[in-house]
Amino acid sequence: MLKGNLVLSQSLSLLRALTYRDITSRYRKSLLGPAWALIQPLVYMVIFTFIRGVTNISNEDIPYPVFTFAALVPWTFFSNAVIRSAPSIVSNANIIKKISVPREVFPLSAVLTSLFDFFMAGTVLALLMAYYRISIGLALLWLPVLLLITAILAFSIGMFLASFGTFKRDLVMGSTILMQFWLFTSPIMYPLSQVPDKWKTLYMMNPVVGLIEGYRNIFLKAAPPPAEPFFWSVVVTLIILAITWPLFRWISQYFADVL
Amino acid sequence: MSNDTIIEVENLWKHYGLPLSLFIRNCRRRLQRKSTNHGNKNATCEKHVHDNYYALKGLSFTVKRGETIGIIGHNGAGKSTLLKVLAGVTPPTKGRFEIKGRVFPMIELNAGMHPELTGRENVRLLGAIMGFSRSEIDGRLPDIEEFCDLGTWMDRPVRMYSSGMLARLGFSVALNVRADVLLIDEVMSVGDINFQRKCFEQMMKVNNKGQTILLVTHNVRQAERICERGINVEGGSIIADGLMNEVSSNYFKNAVVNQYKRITEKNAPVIYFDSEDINITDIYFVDSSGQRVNTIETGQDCQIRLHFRLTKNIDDLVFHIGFVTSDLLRLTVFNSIDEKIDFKGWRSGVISCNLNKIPLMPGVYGLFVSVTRSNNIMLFKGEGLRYIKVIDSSYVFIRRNMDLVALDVSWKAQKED
Repeated sequence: MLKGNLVLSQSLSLLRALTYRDITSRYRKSLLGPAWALIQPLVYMVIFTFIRGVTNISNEDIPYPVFTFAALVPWTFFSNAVIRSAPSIVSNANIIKKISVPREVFPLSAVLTSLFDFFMAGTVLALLMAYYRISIGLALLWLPVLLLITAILAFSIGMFLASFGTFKRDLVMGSTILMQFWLFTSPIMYPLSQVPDKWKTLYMMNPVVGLIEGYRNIFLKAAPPPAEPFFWSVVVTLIILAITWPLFRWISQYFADVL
Repeated sequence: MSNDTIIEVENLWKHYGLPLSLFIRNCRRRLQRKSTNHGNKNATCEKHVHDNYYALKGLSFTVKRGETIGIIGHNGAGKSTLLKVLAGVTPPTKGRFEIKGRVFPMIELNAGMHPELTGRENVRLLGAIMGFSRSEIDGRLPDIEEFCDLGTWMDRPVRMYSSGMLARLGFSVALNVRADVLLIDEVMSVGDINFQRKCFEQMMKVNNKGQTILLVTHNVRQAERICERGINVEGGSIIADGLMNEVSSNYFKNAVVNQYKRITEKNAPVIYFDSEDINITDIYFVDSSGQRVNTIETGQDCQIRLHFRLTKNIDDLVFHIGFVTSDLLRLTVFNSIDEKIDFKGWRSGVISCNLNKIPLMPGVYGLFVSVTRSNNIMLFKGEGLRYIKVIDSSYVFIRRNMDLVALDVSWKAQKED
């Protein structure tokens, strides 16, 4: 019991130090610093607004820039968390080969680093919402819950990519393409309501759907996350976690052997 | 596990990589030997004793609290693997080990440092990696800063540091760890002499406080100075375990034969300088009966003979001959300057040098040869032109000696009232 506590407190302090290292070192030599966290969703927002000019995308009576930006900010959090988790084992090889720590701290710290970016981009979202005079309600209290589920999902997928990516680097390299694909199969550029009904059930098996719709609801519509998609998000997320975590636990013993 | 036992290792096997390939291999073996090998299912590991598939092959030993153990062996013998398994970095394939108390692996001190962070931030990071809580690190920060003595450098990014400063930073964090068992892997080979000495002193200090130290090193002489007990690992198995001095002298004895073979096969002579004027045609050892040899006993008389050919008329040749240890330490060089031999008109010749009661301890020694003129103009300089095996002899005095040089000593005790 005592030993378990010791390991936990050690892991927490390592997690903190790693996250601090990743956040500070990333921006220390850049001109724009933390502003880089905003650039990715902003660029996508501009692209999507252009695309919407030539295609028919419903905006559910919300100004389109803020409609898509409210989805892009949490999406960027999710996608960066996954993309950074994937190489987290390989890039921390020098620690893993030398010291025995629970390997989960590495993908977890990648998720936390991305969470920092989320809050940076969140300020711009708030400004945009203020500009379009969008009123917010108590539904915003759902935010921590949505963030937690998003973080768990990113962590689970990150663990999968990191564990196998350590043995075959293809998974690390492929993670960007995976996220690109995922971006367009999630209701970010378009709303869920525009997905054809016969595909809807299958579409909702994508755990990101319920989350993104949830974020959009609490930010823009002052409503709680939509029940059915959100339910599926939680279920699928927990299933993925239940598969990838034990897998990661088992494989992580052998990381030091192959790094 | 008895009370003062701190580490217990039982039949430890280690194969690197995922157990999947091991499983496939075992299946294949079992299929191939189906007819010959039923009823012996547990022998899967033991069958591999003679191949390189396993890095560790069934190690067992126990360590008592406060012991300092030197683990020695050749490259790839499994020393570092053993340490990694004990540190919990990689799991054993078979067997078990138990360590009581907190283990601190000093395997690499700078693991995880980030070049963009300042010295102080890196201290916090290293502390966290090494298992301190935040408050513990902050509590010891003043001590750490004082020890590494970096002054204002603490607030500059680590990428601006020299390698010596980096080592100092890493070591000062490591020094402040309270651990029951220290696992040390070749840490002392980095850093300058002062740093190495600091490491030594600190290790003696922590050992006196009752910490247990496992030291893996190639530098057997270093281990001899620090450790009481030695374990010699070769090919994944323990071949000797006992007092450090006995283990190491045994190690050297075994090493001599293999080393001689390896060295003479792999190491071509290194010629630093070669002029057209002189040509060394042959160089070899001769024992007291005039036989050409490449093995001599400690304390024996022998002769080095050097054949040369001159292309120019040089009358004031000076020959320098010396011994170089296998770890490239130049032990001694002697020259013929006082002989004042006149080589006027020589085209070729043989020069021999008598060595009386050769005082070298068992080992493999390379010959260093240089030829100059009396005014120090270099004509030839080379190392490893010939190797000589020095083996244990029946002389009694050798039993009282260790290390490189066998002095002919005698003792006398006188009681004073």
